[in-house]
Amino acid sequence: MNDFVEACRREWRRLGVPGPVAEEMAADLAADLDQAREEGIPAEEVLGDGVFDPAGFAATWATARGVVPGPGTETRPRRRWLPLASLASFAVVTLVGVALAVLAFHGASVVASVHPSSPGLPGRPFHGFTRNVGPPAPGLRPFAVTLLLVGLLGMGATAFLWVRRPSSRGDDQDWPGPRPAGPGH
Amino acid sequence: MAVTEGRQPQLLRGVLDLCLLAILDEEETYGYELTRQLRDRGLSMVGGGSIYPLLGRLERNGLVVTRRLAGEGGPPRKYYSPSAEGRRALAKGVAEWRATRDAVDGLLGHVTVEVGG
Repeated sequence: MNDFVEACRREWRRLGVPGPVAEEMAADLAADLDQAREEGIPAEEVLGDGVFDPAGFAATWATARGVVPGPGTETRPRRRWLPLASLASFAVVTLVGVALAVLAFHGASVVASVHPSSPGLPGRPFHGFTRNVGPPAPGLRPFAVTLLLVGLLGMGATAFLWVRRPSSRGDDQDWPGPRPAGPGH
Repeated sequence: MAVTEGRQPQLLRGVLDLCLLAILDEEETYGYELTRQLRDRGLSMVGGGSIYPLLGRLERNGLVVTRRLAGEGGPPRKYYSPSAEGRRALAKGVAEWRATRDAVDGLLGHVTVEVGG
């Protein structure tokens, strides 16, 4: 394996070319260069100007093959759970806001709680108890409205961004080679 | 006569993909052999390092199919041959090339320029 192939291999590694693909390209290149050397053909004739720039040659080749993870190519799985988690969080905020708004605007002053009247005797009916918690705090209304608005706006924004999210593939923007002929073309 | 200088390499680069597909349509072969066949046909300066990325694009676009075959005493090589889509692209490209060539010939074919000393 000569230095040129090794330099290409380093560049492919740096670019994130998948290992098996890089190995295949390196093996083909090494075999071609070996054959050229045996036949007395200079490497320039096989590699063109790329012989002076192994990194550029390697990058051009890998890009043309579409094996370089580009800006539009995901190098890790998309975090699909993120929008759902965001939506769920804003939904919780909205529900809390609704509950506080009901409490603040409808004058609820009691909170019901239920517990068994005789815990040691299973099967006995439960009795309801109420506890007076007093009137809502003075700042509860604006707080409840703020929570409600934040929750609703957050849910709306999350849904909007989710629908408008960009396509997952963007690595096909360079020259695509000759367009195949087909009916009507 | 080999294409070695002037604008000819640039002109031929535009149809190098067709040249590769044409060679592959004649015979399934591998990268270095393509370089050699271009050289034998007087197109040695066209190919060079262009062949590898071009084969990559052809493969990526489904215009060639590949398989690894053991060479004659050598290491396994990646052999290329045109796919059905590649053959259609070749036919269309050749038609475009001929039309372009005829149009350019119609303009330049009659030009006679005497270069004064």
